[in-house]
Amino acid sequence: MSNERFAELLPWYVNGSIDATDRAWVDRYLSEHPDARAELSWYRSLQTRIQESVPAVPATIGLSRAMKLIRGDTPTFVERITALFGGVALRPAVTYALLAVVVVQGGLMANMFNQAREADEMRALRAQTVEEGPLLKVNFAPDAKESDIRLLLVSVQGTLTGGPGQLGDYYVRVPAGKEEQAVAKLKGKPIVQAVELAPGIPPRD
Amino acid sequence: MENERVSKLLERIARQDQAAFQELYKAFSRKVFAYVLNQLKDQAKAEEVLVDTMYEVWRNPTRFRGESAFSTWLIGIARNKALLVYRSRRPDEDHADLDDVAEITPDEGPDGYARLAEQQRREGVQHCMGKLSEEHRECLHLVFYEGMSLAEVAAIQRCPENTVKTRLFHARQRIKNCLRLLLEREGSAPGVES
Repeated sequence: MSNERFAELLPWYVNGSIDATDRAWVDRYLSEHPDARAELSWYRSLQTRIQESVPAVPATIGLSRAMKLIRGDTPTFVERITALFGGVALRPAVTYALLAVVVVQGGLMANMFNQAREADEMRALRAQTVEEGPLLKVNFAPDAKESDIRLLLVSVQGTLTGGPGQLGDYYVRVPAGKEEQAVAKLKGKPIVQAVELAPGIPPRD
Repeated sequence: MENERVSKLLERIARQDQAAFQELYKAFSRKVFAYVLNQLKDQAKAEEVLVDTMYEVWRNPTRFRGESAFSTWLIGIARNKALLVYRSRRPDEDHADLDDVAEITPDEGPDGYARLAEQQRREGVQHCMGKLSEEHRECLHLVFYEGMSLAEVAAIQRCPENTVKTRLFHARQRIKNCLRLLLEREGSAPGVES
């Protein structure tokens, strides 16, 4: 047990963030178990190597680009990346293509209404987007892929309505009455770190 | 830089003071860059994410409430931006398979630790860090590069403290075994001092 506690406390002892009580405990343990000093040495060596492994860069790295952003208002790197792989900002050609699809679909729908088809048949053709309903706040694991997130949201009939915020919060709207089911399903997925019902999307400052 | 000084700079930044922004930028750029580079392993992308992160501070300087160290808050922003970049990667850019870095190591004794401590080199640690999962690598970086406390790491990784302890335990096992494998297999190869 004491060995476990030693192993648990040692990283924080090495990086200096341990509190005084735990520090005293580790010091006492080390004095009573000289062999444990080898593990301490290894951790210290590891810390040194990790610190050395970061390349030395000037404090001004990227500063000129940041100043251009401030003075200009060119899109940021992440905005460009997000736009490229399916974000909000669509390129004109794609936008026109989508508009064309919407127009054609609209024509088809109008035609079907004119033919006075059964309402059930019309319902089957409606999109599954949810504009109103409960909102979930979801945090995904760091190694979650965009495609995995999309598939998971589809499986709970969720619509991404906000995020990610500065703390990585995504806001997902799900059909009314299915929020508990959605929370349970999301909680069971390894790519989901946290999920909870949210009162709304927080406004940007 | 203390939070008090940071708060004063942020107040000036809220008034569009570019000199204050530059001072803040220079004070934290290396720290943010090191963190993002550790996550993305790509210097050009790390620099881009650093710029985006600091630009976020320029746009929303009042969002920092002083509830944590400013660097912890800043790394939280950088983390989310790095995640977006990471998630946009092609599948073939994923980290290497970890099958060859089993967690069970045969030699846990003081001699094994002492030998590793003496012989592990920067290149070896870099190589083995690259073999870890994102979460494990991030955890080691936050603890041993940033010097963060357990509570701070848990806040950044948005998980309970016990999860951080578990991640740290597994990361330690994996990197130790990886370094030992380098030592055994390659002798004078990168990662091991002869």
